Amino acid sequence: MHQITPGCGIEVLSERVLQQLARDTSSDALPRLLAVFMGEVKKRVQLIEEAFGNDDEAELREQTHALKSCAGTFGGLRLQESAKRLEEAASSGRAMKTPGLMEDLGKVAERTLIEYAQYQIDLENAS
Amino acid sequence: MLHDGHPRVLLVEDSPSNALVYRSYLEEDYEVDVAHTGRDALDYLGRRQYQALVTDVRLPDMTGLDILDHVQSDIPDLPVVVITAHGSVDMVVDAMQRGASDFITKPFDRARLDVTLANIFKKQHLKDVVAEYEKSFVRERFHRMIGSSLPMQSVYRIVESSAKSRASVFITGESGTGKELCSEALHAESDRSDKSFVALNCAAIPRDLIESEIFGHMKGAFTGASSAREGAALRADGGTLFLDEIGEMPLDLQSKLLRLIQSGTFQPVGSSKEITVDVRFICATNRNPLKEVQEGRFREDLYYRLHVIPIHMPPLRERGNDILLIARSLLIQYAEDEGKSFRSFGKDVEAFLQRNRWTGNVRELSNIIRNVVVLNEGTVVNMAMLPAATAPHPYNSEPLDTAAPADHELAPADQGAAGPKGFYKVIPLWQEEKRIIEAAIAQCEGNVPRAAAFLEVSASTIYRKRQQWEKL
Repeated sequence: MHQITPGCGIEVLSERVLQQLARDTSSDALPRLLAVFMGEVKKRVQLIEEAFGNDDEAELREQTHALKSCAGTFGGLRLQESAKRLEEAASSGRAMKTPGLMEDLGKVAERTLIEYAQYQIDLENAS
Repeated sequence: MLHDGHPRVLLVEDSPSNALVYRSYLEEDYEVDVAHTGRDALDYLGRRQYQALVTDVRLPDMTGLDILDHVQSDIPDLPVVVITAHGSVDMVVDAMQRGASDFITKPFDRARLDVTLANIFKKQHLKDVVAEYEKSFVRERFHRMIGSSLPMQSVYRIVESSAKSRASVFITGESGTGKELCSEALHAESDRSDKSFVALNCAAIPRDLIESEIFGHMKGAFTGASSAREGAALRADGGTLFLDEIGEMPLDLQSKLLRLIQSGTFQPVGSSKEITVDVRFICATNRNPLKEVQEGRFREDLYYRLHVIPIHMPPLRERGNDILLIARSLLIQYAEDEGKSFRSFGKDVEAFLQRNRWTGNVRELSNIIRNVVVLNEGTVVNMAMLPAATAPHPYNSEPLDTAAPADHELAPADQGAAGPKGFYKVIPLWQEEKRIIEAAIAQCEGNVPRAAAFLEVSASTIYRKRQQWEKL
């Protein structure tokens, strides 16, 4: 039986948020902002996996909080939601008992990076 | 905290991508520094001045609230905006209670950050305008000087305007009006405030030693000079030299002082070596300096060298409510010094303090309050506590029937004010006038023209008044 992942109805990449970001900064700046964002996602996910592997819930909480925050700024809404759930689990000492949340975050992060990389390519092609 | 150009904002955010976005929001209108840790933020705050701080709450090494606490303690005027996660109401309440100017919830767009900062700067600007207004128009204190009266506001403004200049300042005013406090304020406001302020009272030093005190001496320069000594001019190098009671300086020394002011050079007593110094001169006198020049006691060239920026310290009797401001401040200070519980003056004492002429100015007022505090107990000063010597001039302090004017010197024409209610007998003006005139005539052994000269009226005025008294 296929397990329904909570939050799968939420956008992986919110074009609305990215368009607002382009208006608030500049279209020229957006590719660079996206590059920094993707770099941070990779780094945070790696630190989250390490914290999970080390049973370090405090570090897990800190890193998921930071990932949630930057994902929200860039419209990575599904990643934001996934990080939020793992952060809440870590805050209540349940993160290690619910490995599905960690697994879900890895998958969502992977998909997020793919979609943002594609968006970045599209931006560069359009300019 | 008024600033030129773009206001400087310190952004504290550990997420590189968030920091980049927020920086992009801000950099068009603000000069932005970004710190990624709390430690970095404190380091920036220690090195540079900012007009606002925007900080995330969650940081790797400390919380944004720790930074807020630091700012509240060390830079309380710096507005702080705290960035919080969505839904963290408790955190927002905590931040605002600790003194944050505003908060902003993630994620946020540029407009939200713009409005938040614009509101803060608008409020800050208004505070600055009010502070500037108060600074320019209504100040009750300026350095160690106390007073909100118009003449003192004028003194404060001149001190502020002239402090940064190297031009000499000539302070005039009666004894006890605060000439030295004024000179201290000039030094404290100047770019020389981190250097020496050397004050020398020319009246308090024997004439033979003034030269050595100002210019120093070599060993053996004169009898008793067993070792070389630096003078005030050298000690004040880079700073300010305050020469109080400059009118007491002997004429021969005035020329040596003139040379020091003109060229910045001098020779210590007993030395042929020229020493060059950078000194700002402030001098003061309780005499009329121009009159001293006219009467040959003060060199004209030195007068014009020193009298570049004149400041006149007003006598206390011309300072209105400053008398009470100063009296209250002194009362609290002396009560604290003496371990007493005095906190205020009775209404009748306040009325008396304001009516008295204070010929000794603040020094006289200070002595009386110290006397009251030392010799009495209580929380409120009443009339019975005032020392007997507080009585104004005998001509208007003693009841008519006990007056003994012939025993007193003739008073200056401007001397005399009524004492407090219940303290001296108030009598009709014509009787008081009659008593003064008759006392003057008695003092002059019946010589009416001579008495008239002392009283600075014409003799015919006295004859006319005598005729009027006879008709009464």
